[in-house]
Amino acid sequence: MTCHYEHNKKTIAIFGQTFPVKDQIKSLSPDGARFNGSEKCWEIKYSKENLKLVNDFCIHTGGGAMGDFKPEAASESVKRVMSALQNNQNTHENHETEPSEKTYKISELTSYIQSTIQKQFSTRIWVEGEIMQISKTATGSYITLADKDQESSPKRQKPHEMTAIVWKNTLLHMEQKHQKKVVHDVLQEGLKVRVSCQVSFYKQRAQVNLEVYDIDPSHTKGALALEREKTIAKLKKLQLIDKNKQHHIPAIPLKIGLITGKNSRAESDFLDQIKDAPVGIHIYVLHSAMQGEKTKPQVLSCLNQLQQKDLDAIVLTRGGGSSGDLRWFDSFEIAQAIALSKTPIISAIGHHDDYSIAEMVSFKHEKTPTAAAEYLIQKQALFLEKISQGLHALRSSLDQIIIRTQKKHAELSRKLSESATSKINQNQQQLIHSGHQINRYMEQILSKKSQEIQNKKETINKLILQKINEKEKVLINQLGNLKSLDPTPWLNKGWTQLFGSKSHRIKSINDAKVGESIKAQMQDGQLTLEIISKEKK
Amino acid sequence: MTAKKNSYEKEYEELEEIIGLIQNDKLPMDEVLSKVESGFKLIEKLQKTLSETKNKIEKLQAKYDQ
Repeated sequence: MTCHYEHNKKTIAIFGQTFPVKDQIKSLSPDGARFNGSEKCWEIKYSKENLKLVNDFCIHTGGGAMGDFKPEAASESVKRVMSALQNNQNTHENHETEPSEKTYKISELTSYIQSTIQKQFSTRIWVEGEIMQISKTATGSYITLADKDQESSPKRQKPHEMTAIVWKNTLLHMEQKHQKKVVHDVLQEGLKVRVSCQVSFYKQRAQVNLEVYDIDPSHTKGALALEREKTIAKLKKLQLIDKNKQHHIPAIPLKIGLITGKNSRAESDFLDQIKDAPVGIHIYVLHSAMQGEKTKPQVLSCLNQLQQKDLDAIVLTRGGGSSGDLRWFDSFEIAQAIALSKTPIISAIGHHDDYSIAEMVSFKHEKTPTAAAEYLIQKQALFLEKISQGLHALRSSLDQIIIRTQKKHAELSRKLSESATSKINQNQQQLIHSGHQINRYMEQILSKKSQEIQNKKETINKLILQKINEKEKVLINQLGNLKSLDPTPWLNKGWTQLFGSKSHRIKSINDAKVGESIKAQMQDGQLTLEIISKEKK
Repeated sequence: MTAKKNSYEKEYEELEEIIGLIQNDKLPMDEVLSKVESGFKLIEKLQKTLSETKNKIEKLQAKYDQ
């Protein structure tokens, strides 16, 4: 399948074993290729880009520019060299340490090697290795395959590498066979692959290449699964699986870090959704590659930067994509950084049923950026609802307490009033008692005083009676005396008593005047007498 | 409130003192009469204080019940 080319300013002509690779030749140029039957070559429109593509193509078939190609001479030399090398091999087997005297041209040697390789690898073989690098061109993909595991390539040694080429037509064929998505997921840098390929030799640079014709997706998936299991086991051993889950997102998250792809749909979806948060959330956005080799260092850098900020949570998210891209988030280093993050991390990476290890060790994982935003919104809303319910319950409790207190106060007020009234009544009774007491004492005093007066009165009466008695006695005596003085007996005997005009008793002649009318008391009446004369005795 | 209560108590003590004096036989009759008058005046005053207090309490209770 070695191809060579020559060109002028209009056309590039490809010669050689073109039939097996005619489809690749046709796909080299957007304008396609035309087979020139008379010249037995394929012709492509000349341009610098096409010339480079044809050159690369011919080199990888083991050919190159026509100036370097001399078919007849080459075949002769090949025969010669093969013969010589065969002899040399025999000699070498007999005398291992002695170099052959025969001198070869490089072209002879490379032709021999090519022939040997073609003979040794006449059929396609399965090769496994890790994809170190993929370069895509218009003609196909150039893959650097290597043994990276320790058994095949010890750490101290550089891993063994080979270039594998997937021609564009082969790629289309594989995509039809396995589905485009599956092929895309398998042919990615860092993945272990098993490929069916033909070993080819590029003579001009003595370079052995692999032309890939098929892939084994199950091998890659198995290797990924194994790697994933190892990473999970390591995280478990270090007790990192649930470490980030031990954090706590505040009931009202207010400061959130966002790690996502720049200008990605994930970023816009998250930011659009988070606007609906009941309480405004401040977002610190850091951009990172979310697939490819740069994912790990950039995500780690973003996580590290956000550790410096006092955040309530960090959201690590990307938009929808191939499930194969999840493997970037199966990295032990990313998982470790998430687990050891002092801030709880919400990851929304997958969009798939299976989730990455990064999501596994995160505080919380959601399927989409929108769901991650919704989680934060719901957290706020839930807490606000709880506060609302709490306030309602508190209000209700307060109302009950107020009613109970009012009843209690009413009862206390009543008791207070009753108590005060009772006290007043008691005091009033005391006052009444005091009044009665005063009255009683007064009555006693008055009674006593009255008694005293009565006693005095009685005493006076006694004294009066005594005096009266005494006087009576005196009077009786006087009466006796008076009786002795009573003239009646005398009058009865004819004696009389004379009284002057002034009713005075006439005891002497001097007591009446001559001519004065006087009264003479008689036994049975009075006589009026006139004094005619007085005669002294 | 405290001053008023003290005032009531003080006046009540004065009343008791008057009653004690009235009980005493040695007090002249004129003074007894004078003390009795003072006693009844105090009783009237204290009863008025109690009535006023009672009215206030009733008003407060009525206001609270509203």
